[in-house]
Amino acid sequence: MSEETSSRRRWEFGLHILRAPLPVIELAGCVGLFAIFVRYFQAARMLPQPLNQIDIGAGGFPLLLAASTLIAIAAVAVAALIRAFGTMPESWVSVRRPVWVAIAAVLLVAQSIYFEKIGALPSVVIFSLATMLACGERRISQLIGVPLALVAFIWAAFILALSVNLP
Amino acid sequence: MQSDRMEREEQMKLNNLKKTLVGLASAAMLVLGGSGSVAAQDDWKPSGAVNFVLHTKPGGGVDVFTRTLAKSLEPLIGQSIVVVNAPGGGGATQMAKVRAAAPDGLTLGVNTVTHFTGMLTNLRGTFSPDDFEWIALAQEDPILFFVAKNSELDSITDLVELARANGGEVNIGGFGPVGSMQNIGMTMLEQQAGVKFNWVAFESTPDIIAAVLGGHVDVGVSNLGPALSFFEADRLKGLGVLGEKRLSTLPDMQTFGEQGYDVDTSWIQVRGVFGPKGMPLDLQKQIAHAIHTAMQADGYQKYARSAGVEDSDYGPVEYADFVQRLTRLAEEQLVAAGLVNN
Amino acid sequence: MFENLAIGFAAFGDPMVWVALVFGAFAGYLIGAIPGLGPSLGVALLIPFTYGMDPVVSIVGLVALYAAAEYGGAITAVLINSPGTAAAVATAWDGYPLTQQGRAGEALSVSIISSGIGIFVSTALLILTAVPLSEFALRFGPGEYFALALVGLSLVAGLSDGSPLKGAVSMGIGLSLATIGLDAQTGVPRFTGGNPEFFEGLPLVPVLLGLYALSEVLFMIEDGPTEKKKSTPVAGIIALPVKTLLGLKTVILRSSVLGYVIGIIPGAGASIASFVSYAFSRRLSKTPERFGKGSLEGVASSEAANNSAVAGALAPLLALGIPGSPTTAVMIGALMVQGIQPGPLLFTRSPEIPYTVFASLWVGVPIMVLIGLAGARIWARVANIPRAAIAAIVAGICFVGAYSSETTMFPVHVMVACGLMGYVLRKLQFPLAPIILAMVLGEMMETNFRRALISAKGDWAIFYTSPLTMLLFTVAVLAFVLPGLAALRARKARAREV
Repeated sequence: MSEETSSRRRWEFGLHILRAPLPVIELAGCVGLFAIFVRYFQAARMLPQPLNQIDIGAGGFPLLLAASTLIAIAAVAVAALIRAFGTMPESWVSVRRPVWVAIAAVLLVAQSIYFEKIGALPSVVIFSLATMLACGERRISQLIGVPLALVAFIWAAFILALSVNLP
Repeated sequence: MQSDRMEREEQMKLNNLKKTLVGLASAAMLVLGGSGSVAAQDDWKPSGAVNFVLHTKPGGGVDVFTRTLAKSLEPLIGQSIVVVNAPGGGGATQMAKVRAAAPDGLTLGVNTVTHFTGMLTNLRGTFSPDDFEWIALAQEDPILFFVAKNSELDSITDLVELARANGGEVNIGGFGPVGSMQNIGMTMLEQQAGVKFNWVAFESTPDIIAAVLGGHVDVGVSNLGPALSFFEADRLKGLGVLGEKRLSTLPDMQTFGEQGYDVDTSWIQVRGVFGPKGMPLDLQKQIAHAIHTAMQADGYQKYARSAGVEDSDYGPVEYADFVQRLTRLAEEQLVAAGLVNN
Repeated sequence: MFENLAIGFAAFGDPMVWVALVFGAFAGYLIGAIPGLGPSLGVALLIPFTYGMDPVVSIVGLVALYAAAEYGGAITAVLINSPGTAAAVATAWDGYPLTQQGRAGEALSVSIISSGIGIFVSTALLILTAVPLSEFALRFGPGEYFALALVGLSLVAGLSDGSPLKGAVSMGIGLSLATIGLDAQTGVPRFTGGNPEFFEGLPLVPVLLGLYALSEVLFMIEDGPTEKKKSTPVAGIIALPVKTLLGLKTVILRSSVLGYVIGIIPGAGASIASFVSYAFSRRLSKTPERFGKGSLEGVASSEAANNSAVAGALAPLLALGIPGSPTTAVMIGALMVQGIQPGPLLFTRSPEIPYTVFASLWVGVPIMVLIGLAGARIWARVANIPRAAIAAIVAGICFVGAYSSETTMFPVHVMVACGLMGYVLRKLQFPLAPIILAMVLGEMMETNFRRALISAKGDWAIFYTSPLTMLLFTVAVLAFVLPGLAALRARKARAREV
């Protein structure tokens, strides 16, 4: 995931690769996580007080948890800042084939939306074919054979042997 | 997501239409054949496989009940029965499936008291008992209070005395949070006796029994089934049962009423069968009759006795009445507990 | 006891019992290997098939399935870094690096042999100690359970490689995911956005599938159609010299005992067992630096422990009728259909049931190991399937598996959301294991903390008056502090070298 060789230590925004220093990515991630946990904290504060006086209530544990996680996130961010300007050897994070990864992510979401509508087996055929294309497979025999074998297996294991009601 | 759901509903409407048409056609045939009047007394003859939709995962008490019932019901109705587990949302997933189904008797649900308390609390506004037809009551399962064998408590009276002396410092462990079926049973006793107990919520009955045996709570609440073998092994001692009469399997344990606590005895755990709104009463009666007949089979009887439940013969009319009474009772209690504002 | 054991083995005079055993072991092996189907779902799905059978036959089949399925989760953990159960997460830590080094066959052979020995040893312990240890486990009250959950969490903090701060954040994410749903004490919906689908909380298996398997699919897409390292074909019956196996005997034996003891405590189960024994093995190993990079010891300790936890979980079920794991809870249902109510009288009233279970665990071990060793040869070749095909197969089976776990779309949506989250977190180099373990332990921790306070009427003394609780707290603190000190020392040593 992170390449340490010196030739691979520079920013890149190509269609074939994205690369940035780890501390920068970490900072961005921390901002995102921080926002999420602030929302979580707010939602926890809205929870009703317990009827039983002894109980810490539905919100007690989440509040404590949110507060400590926020502190931990801040600490990760500070550590990232120190490393960004410090002397420690930098690590870099890269995403190869970013376009295809994005397409695959969209495919996963699309499959979760259409799975029930077009039925389990057809959607497995369509999306496994698409996933293989996204992964760079271009051999026709593979592209036809794998989805069919997969569907045959799913049919045999889930429907025939375990009698699961698939859509 | 939204469009997906609409699409699905559209699909279901189409299916419903198809089923209604088929139903009309067959009804017409019956009338033409001149046998329409006796149809009410006919046996239930579903036109296809019957789906029983459950609100629990496979393996739980409701699941075991349904699958055992299905086994003796299948030969009776000459159709296969598909048990569909639709857990999630405190019954919401299941109720949505049942509500959306055609009222042709091919899609039925199994319910417990949790459905009624749920519709009054978390699912209020999403579902109401009026969205469904309550077809048959199959099992009654009263709750009982018990202690470990070496406990100083011997009766509900002892428990109440202890709570009075300590100002509520008696722990009662039971299934579900405040406002759950068993918790309401406890509050009803509190009101009758004029004391307070300390409710400790658990998420499974074996956990409650383990906590009582290990001395982590003073008193446990549960239905008979899971506790039965512990009574037989002389590890637990019953304080009282919240029911009309004593349990046939534990005749020594007195009811709440016998000990002078007049708690409403219709507050029992149930397992019943319900369906989507708009099923003809005749069909409901046929289904109820088929279910109650299937419950007489040896396999079912063997299971029901070892599970410690009592059989019920409530058909659609009695069960609908019972559901109303239960819902009213639950609502009163939930309002009193401050969980529902009316 | 011996005449009872004889009754148990006598059951194997019936050929149907053998059929059930072999079928159960084979089905469990496959079910465990399919992402989304674990032991508890597998047992639940097969219960309807047992209705018409003799009780002894059906219980033998189900126990064989349970044990084999608990092993099967390791296969995907080793091959594609996607543990099928939370208990196989620790197996993936070393199993997957081994696969990347082309040693999938070795990793699978070690995992099946450790699993087999784990079951064999723990069954012996089960026969000798089921009743007394189950009675002892009753002493675990809410305070003890809370302390136990802390032990688990502190172990993970010590185990997660990389930055401990990031491990803490991951743990926070896992704990917060565990709080979603109806609050167990008050019944209030928490963080559900008013959507009833979230009321019963996030299901663990879809989260696991998303975080590991789907995020791995995205990583495979990144690698694209480049060549993989071919795995060495398995020669002989086992893929590794007997000498290597003998070197693992202490690890396997220790992990089996640990796994059994932890498995007995109702609710603790196989996942805590495998994490704890992994941590112990790393601590006591002569080569701790290889853990996480492809250590056979790591695979052996995790697998021996999670399988011997099966026997552990059966102990309170057979001795008291209290299920020790979700799977044994489902098995109670299966027994009830047969008219058998497991409880404290099972041993006196129908001794044929517990003793047949003991016998079938023993008889089942060689069968399971043979299936596993034969399987390892095939699976090692699976590791050579082109990457694109693996990605498509994993994604497809994950979708169907997640759907079958509840036969609704909800787990599928959860899985996809977690898949995308898992990919981002892995890019940020946040460890995933603390998320899973925190999810497993989060509810146990919060519920028992509050239950303890409520049942003690608000008196905090409940957390320090019981010796058992104090002992567990000490272990938790040590587990947290010791690795930290070791890390500090290592860092100082490294600083000196630079």
